[in-house]
Amino acid sequence: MPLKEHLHIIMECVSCGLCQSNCPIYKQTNLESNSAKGKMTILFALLEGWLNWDEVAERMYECTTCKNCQATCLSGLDIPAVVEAARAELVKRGLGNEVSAQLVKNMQKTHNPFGEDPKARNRLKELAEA
Amino acid sequence: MSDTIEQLRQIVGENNVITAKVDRVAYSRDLTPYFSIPDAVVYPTTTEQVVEILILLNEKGVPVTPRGGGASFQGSSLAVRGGILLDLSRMNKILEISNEDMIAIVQPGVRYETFEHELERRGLTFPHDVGSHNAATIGGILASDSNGHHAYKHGRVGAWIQGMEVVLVDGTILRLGTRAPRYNMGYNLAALFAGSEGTLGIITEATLKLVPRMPVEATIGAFFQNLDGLMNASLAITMSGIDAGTFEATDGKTVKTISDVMNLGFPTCEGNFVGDVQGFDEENLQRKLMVMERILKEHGGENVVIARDEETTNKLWAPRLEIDTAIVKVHPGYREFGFAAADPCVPLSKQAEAIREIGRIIRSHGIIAAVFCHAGIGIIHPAVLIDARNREHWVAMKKAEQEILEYVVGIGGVVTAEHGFGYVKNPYVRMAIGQDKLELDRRIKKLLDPNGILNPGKMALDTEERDSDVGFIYKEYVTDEEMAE
Ligand SMILES: Cc1cc2nc3c(=O)[nH]c(=O)nc-3n(C[C@H](O)[C@H](O)[C@H](O)COP(=O)(O)OP(=O)(O)OC[C@H]3O[C@@H](n4cnc5c(N)ncnc54)[C@H](O)[C@@H]3O)c2cc1C
Ligand code: SF4
Ligand code: SF4
Repeated sequence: MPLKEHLHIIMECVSCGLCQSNCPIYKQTNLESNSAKGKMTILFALLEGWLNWDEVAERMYECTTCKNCQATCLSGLDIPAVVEAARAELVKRGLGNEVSAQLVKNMQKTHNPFGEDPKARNRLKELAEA
Repeated sequence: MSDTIEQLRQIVGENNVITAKVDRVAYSRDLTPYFSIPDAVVYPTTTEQVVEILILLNEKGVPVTPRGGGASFQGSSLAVRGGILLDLSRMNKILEISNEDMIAIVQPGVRYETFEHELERRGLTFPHDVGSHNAATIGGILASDSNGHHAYKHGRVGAWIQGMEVVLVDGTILRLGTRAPRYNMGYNLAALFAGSEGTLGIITEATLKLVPRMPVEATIGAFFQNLDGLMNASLAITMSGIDAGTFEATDGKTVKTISDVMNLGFPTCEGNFVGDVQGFDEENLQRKLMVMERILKEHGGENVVIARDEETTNKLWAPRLEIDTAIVKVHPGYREFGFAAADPCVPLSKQAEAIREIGRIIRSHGIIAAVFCHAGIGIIHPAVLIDARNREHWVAMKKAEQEILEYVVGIGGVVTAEHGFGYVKNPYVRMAIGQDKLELDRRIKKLLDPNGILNPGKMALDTEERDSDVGFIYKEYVTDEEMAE
């Protein structure tokens, strides 16, 4: 679903901040743009034309989509759905996540997403089996 | 400004200064309709850094707005004049909890919820559980002199400050009080800084009084066909001597909306009552519940339910807590806004009348109202729920706001008793406190912050306007100037 169709959720966010303290990303950084509250503010600003897509990209990928925010949200807002819609648009605009691009490269090169040397991984497997 | 930002980086370190627009935008709004982007967000981690920051910004005349969790309802922690947003959330250590002295020493950025978890493990509590408990910080709670969920029993937070460290704008570190429980030494400055909304100094540490956590608790709910019966019941419980924790009342129309949307099967009523009560053991609790149940029924309470399990407790609290969830289901895109009539207080004998009249005023303007009351302490919380894309709704909200405040003052009440003036109440401060007190407040401000850099634009200390120096989230917003035309 395009981001615009989630506009009502973005508008329903009252910026109360009840979602902050259980957000695993916000807890690490104390950066408002990492919380669901901050994400809704910056997406609102984006849709109003006050921010550009490339400015918001990094913050949209800093989300585990764990739904902790939804669980504590005053209105039970489905924030991860909005974040995923924003990511879909970012990909379409060529602003896809650098992390997933790296995962693809790793798969092509090492046949595993972690970029680990296949020989080393096999040795670990042998050790575990022994 | 770029010079200043560079100097701030030297004080707090590269990672504790934020200038990227996307990150500053995230700090630009709260529950009010306003939008105001700070020039930089700075996170001090020590008192010494706060001292250096204030000396620098005072010298340069740069506005500095303190912020804890940013959960203020009233634009209090928005950087309405730009400048530096001083985010205290990284000063978040609990320095000490002492069971012997019954105190805790904390930094300002500690979240209420985190603090309570730590206290709970030691059988203690700091019973000022604001509704924003997992967002609000101790610094924000003290600077707003907040009124927690159990304010009926425990009063405002200000009286629980045993000691405080405050940094003044010239860099002076003021230490007020000690770990000794009482002091009476000249003017009570801790009381002045509590509720000063960051306009007089930065709270960098607090020594807080604690009490034992009561081991057993119950919630009790009832429905009333008549709000007068509900208020008389709460007064009778008070007069019985029972030390209940809280009494809350919700108007019947709101109860119906929530019941319908959430399928809760509540009876029709003019008002819902929900309260909680604690005991030092089960027998003590049961005796209190027995008396409360009897009093509620004697005053017309119907469907009286006592809850001990989580599911029933949540159901009893639904009329008070679930309005936002219910409204977005019935009216997608609608939301609540922080407005100037969010927290007036009326004499106890006028509570029922005020709930009715305030609900009537809001609804008469064609917008959705939900009216709550902290029964027993007179605080009324009217919530207006509007479609922010509809200009008429903004006009209605502003008209309702003025009528409510005039009505409240007319019946002997006050304009604000919980959230403080912040930014959104600037035009009502003079009416609320009168010329003499406003002048005295401004002289106190001038004495402590001669250059007016600390949280400027708030509490009518330097302007009685609110729509002049900020942007608005919605272009449909109707300014005070447009209202006057
Ligand atoms: C859902 C919800 C429920 C709420 N329920 C209640 C309630 O039950 N009772 C109640 O009283 N309020 C309530 N509030 C209002 C608000 O949460 C409280 O006033 C709370 O204390 C704010 O804390 P904060 O850390 O978010 O403060 P902020 O919003 O960050 O700041 C509030 C004020 O304090 C100043 N400030 C912050 N930290 C410092 C510091 N260290 N030194 C000096 N000044 C500082 C700021 O400049 C600002 O003026 C509620 C708000 C929401 C969103
Ligand atoms: S879904 Fe994203 S924003 Fe919400 S709590 Fe999890 S990490 Fe934070
Ligand atoms: S809890 Fe919900 S409404 Fe409140 S700020 Fe977070 S997302 Fe917005």
